[in-house]
Amino acid sequence: MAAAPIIEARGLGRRYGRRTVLQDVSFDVGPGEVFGVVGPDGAGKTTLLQMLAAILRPSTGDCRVLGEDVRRNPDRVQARVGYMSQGFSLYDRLTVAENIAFAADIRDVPRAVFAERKARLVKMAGLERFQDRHEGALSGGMRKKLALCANLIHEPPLLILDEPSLGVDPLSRRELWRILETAREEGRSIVFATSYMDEADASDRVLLLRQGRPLAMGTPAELRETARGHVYSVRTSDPAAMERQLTEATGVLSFQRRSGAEIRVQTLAAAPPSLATIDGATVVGVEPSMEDAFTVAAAETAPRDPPASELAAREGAEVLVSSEGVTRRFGDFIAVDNVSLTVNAGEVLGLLGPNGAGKTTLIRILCGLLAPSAGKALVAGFDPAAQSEQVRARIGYVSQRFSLFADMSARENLRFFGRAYGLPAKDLDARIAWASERAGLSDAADGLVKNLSGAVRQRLALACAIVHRPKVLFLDEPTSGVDPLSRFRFWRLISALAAEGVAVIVTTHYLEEATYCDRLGLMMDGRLIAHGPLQALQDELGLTEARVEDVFLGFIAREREAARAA
Amino acid sequence: MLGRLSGLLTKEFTQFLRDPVMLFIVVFFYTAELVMCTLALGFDVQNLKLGVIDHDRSETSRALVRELTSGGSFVLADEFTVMGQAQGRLQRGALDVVVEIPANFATRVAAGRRTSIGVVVDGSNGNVAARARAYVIELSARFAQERLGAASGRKRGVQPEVRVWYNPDLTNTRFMALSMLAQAGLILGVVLPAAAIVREKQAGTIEQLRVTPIRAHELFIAKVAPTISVCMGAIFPALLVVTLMGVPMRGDVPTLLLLTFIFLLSAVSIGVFVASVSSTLQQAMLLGFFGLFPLMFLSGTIAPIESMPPWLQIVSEASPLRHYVEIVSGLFLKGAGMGELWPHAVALLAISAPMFFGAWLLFRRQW
Amino acid sequence: MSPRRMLAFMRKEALEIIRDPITVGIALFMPLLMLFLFAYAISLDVENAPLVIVDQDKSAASRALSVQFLESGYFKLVAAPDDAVEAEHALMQGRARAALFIPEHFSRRLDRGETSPVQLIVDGTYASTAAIVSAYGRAILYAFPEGGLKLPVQPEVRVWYNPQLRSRDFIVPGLFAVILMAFPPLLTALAVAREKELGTIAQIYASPLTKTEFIAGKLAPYAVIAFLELLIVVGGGLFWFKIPMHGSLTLLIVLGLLYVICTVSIGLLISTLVRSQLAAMLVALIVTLMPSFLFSGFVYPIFTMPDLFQAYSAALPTPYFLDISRGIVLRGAGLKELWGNVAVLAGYTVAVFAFAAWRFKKRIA
Repeated sequence: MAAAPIIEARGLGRRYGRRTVLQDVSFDVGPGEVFGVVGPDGAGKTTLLQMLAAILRPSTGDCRVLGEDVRRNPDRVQARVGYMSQGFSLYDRLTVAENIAFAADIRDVPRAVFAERKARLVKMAGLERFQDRHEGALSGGMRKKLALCANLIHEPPLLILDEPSLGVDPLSRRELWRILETAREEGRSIVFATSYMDEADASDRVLLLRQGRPLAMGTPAELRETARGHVYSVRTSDPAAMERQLTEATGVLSFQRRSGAEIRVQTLAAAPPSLATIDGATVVGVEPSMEDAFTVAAAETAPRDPPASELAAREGAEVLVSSEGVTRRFGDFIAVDNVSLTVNAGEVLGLLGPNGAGKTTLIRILCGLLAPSAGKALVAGFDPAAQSEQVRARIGYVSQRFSLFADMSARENLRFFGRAYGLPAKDLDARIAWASERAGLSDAADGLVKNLSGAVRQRLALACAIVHRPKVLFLDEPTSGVDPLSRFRFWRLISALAAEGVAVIVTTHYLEEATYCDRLGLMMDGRLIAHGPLQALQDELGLTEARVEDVFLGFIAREREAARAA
Repeated sequence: MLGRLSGLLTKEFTQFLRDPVMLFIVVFFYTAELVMCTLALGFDVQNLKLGVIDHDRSETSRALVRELTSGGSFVLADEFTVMGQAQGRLQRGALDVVVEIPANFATRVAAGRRTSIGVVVDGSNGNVAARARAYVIELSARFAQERLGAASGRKRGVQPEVRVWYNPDLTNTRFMALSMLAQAGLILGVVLPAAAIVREKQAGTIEQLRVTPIRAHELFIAKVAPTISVCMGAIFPALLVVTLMGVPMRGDVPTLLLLTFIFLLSAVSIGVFVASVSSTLQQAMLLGFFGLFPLMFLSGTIAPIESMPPWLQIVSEASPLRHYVEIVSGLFLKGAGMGELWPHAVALLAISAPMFFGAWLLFRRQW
Repeated sequence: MSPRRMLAFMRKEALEIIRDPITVGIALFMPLLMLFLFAYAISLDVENAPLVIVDQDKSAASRALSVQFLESGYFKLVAAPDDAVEAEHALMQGRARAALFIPEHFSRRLDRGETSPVQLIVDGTYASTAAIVSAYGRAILYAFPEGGLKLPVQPEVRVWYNPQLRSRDFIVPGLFAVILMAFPPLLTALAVAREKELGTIAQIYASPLTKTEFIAGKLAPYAVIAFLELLIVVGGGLFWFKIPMHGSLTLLIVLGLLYVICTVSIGLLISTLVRSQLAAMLVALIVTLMPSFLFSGFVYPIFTMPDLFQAYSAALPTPYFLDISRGIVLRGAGLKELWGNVAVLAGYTVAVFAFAAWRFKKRIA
């Protein structure tokens, strides 16, 4: 059965002035198909989706959406699709109900069916209790779900979603996809951009974009297949030495240290990495994942990052961060509830939890930005509440937004932070060189920060945070919205820093990243509900070989159960 | 610590110089606005259109008309025979003033008897009307005195010697240029630090600064110092512009700089207040521009203070701009020095110092 | 065109406005503040100019001259020093705007029938005040010793359309024109730019809402706000400040509505040209707010401006409505007198609206 395609794109491209941001994209999307667009930032994903929604005119090529030409009849396309842009696209001063009613009115939803549809969507999104709340007062996950409801109210045959789950916690992300799953079952086609590989893996077909060109397209299985023979698991008793070797080795695209002694390696050619034999090291070819496929398809050559330093003495490390019963209230709301934890030098602690679980608040307390309402913390030997100055001189902090000065160059930012941390002028250049190297910024961009890609900004933020050689590093969602390859790379930088004795506390929404952490802390409603190495957490739940997501959801379910029982 | 402070200052200046919006605002207020207003708003009321209804048609009545049109104040636009004709022209705005001379004018003047002439002034532009009325009264008084003298056959009476000091050609140009200069200082003094602070709030970089060892007072100084130096630096090119527009610089430059500094302290304090209540740049700018409006209004640059009601005159004492305008016009136009201007300098200091201190407290509390 | 879509859009816009304290504040509070400031504070006629008198004659005649100055209502005494230096000092400090010097032998010379010079020094800083002060000063001096009322030629000045020459009466109707140009375009421009900046406009683009519906939906709520502003300032002017109304209030309101649509369209036009709220604000401040205060003839008469600026002024809509508003309120003018201005304003509105509609594209680029 050859149903008429929903989208027919032929040689689609877009230029801004002389700059080509997208070219030669051709594909079809059939009814009920879920089509994922994956690529690093600046690859042209948003441009492509905007052209599909007929709100951006293509410079080259042809595109028919729902049988209409996007150039000639943009209004007919616009009227029938659902388009959800990146970020928050609804009116923050309108309530949930008003936003949905507005969406329905401007999209000609018959009044007769409106109430029923609205009730169904709102229920599915779990927003029933919040109908009278202003959109701006909802959590990020809820805002995204609401935006999706607003785009489903007219039951469009095609949904175009630009990174719908960016910055959304794993729990909300799951709910978001449940709604999308229902839409798909109703026969709607979905085109979406994402940086989550599991989402790409779950779609029918995936388009990989890089620098405005299509790199590969196919079903997830086909794409994974292209990486077969490029992916190996290396087990060794001396991971640090192995990492150094992998860094030097030619033909290695990328590698990731998993928890324990496993290192996953992607190679340029379909052959195992050529490694000097290390006693007890095993190299086994493994089933490629979507991440691997992306890495193999996207990487030309591996960026040369600094090897982990020789020093890897983790045993008997000093405790650099400790908190005892730390609590923070905002009025009646308890943002952080009696959290006790410790982090040793050279250790990476991953904090996981839904939006609003208190991760960011906890980090802000430990940084001395907020005073705890109760409890006591000790960071690098000082109390952040009372000795904030001593603490601040010894910590580095990368916030969710990579807070850099956008109108200054990378070097100017580094110089500024160097001086802000009171580095003597004569040491400044040496330190900047050191920090840039450690943060993988050797290609130190001289342009203004606002022109840098998200991944480079992320590494620059890291460099700025370590220019004074902090003992403790706080990273608040440092990988949000960054493509997998850059994320891998970032994590390797983090491990290298940890290997030098820095204590790292990091939050993330990418659950697969939890495997890079030495220990995990699961937070919910301000409380630390589980705490320990991934293996221990799996054991605690009685799960073996479980994915991080299952562990995460398992603990949340157990907590809810306990709450209900109480 | 000096290293941190100089790092902060370098950053602030770099960012300021790269911000097209702020640079545009600085250039606009110190050049375009200043030149435009000065050129356009000279407000020189000359050549008012005079309509005459001469029922007398005598030598004396013609002498009166000549007297009225002798200076540059009035030009004879038209003559009418009845008021009705003039009325329509007046309503359309084709005439500003109509003078009606009665039939027995010459005889009565010759006999030394009191004679009324009818004068109608178009009041729909109050500014123009006020001047027109004053000119008619002046010129007819002069005419009357001359006739009286002629009738009694001897020169007599008071010989008025009116001198206009500081601005002999009585155009608004000089004062306008100076008040625009002062206003530019106020607007920029408020908007620049407010923008510099709010921008960091908006971008989240203030959080990043708070986890460094930077102290509140270091950041505070780094936020206000560039504004003060930019505004004081801008005085020099602005002075050049002002000189080109024909305003003589008679005063003492060090005094000007000292008092400008004190004035800017109050302006940047307002900027810090504005920043503390705004969360986005455009909120800060809106608040900045509109919040300044009453201050500008009460500074005497838009309307002279002595014609305001007494309670507003008292309120105006609290506007730093008012004292600064007095100081600038004193220095530039009158050649006054500290000897004369000290009351305004003291008032300025009394306004600026507590404001600056308050701004600092507020800034530190929010840090 | 679907009325439902348009109404939904208007409703949304209205809700957003109502829930934004800054917009509401600027829209309703600023006009009132301006009305009060302008009405109370602007007076360009001169009363009670501060005067120092240096009377070196100290005769009956010199005292009589002083009295004539002070009783004229144009001057008030701030000091009567013996020393000319002190008078100059007062002028420099700005404590006095004029100084009267009556020399020795003043009365003796008058008695002998000689002319007696009297010096009046006027501070020229405020040119407008200075011109009037010197004219009145001269008039008083010419009339001495008879005094103004005894002069043989007695100008009986009647000021038509504003008999008491109350500045307020001419400022407030002008303010009707200025305020409606100062705020509504700014708010409208900000509102569209806000949607662009937040990305909510993408939802609008990707929906059946047409261009006309969008423009009408954006325009109407802001036109309503602007119209409220008009009612507030007109109400405040007529009832609080008791500005005498010589013409038809209905005509003023109807033409005000036309003007309001015009100024809101200008805001819309600005918003089609810029991307960010900041840019929208700056353009609005420079293109609408500032010129409407300075170059519209509101305070500074247009005919005193150089030709270039007169042309600039003519390119703004404000001077036309300013004429209409002052014409109706002060002169009782009707359509017969005002049709020229009305025609220009109507043409202007149509042109701006058409240009904005043409510029607005339901596309990102």
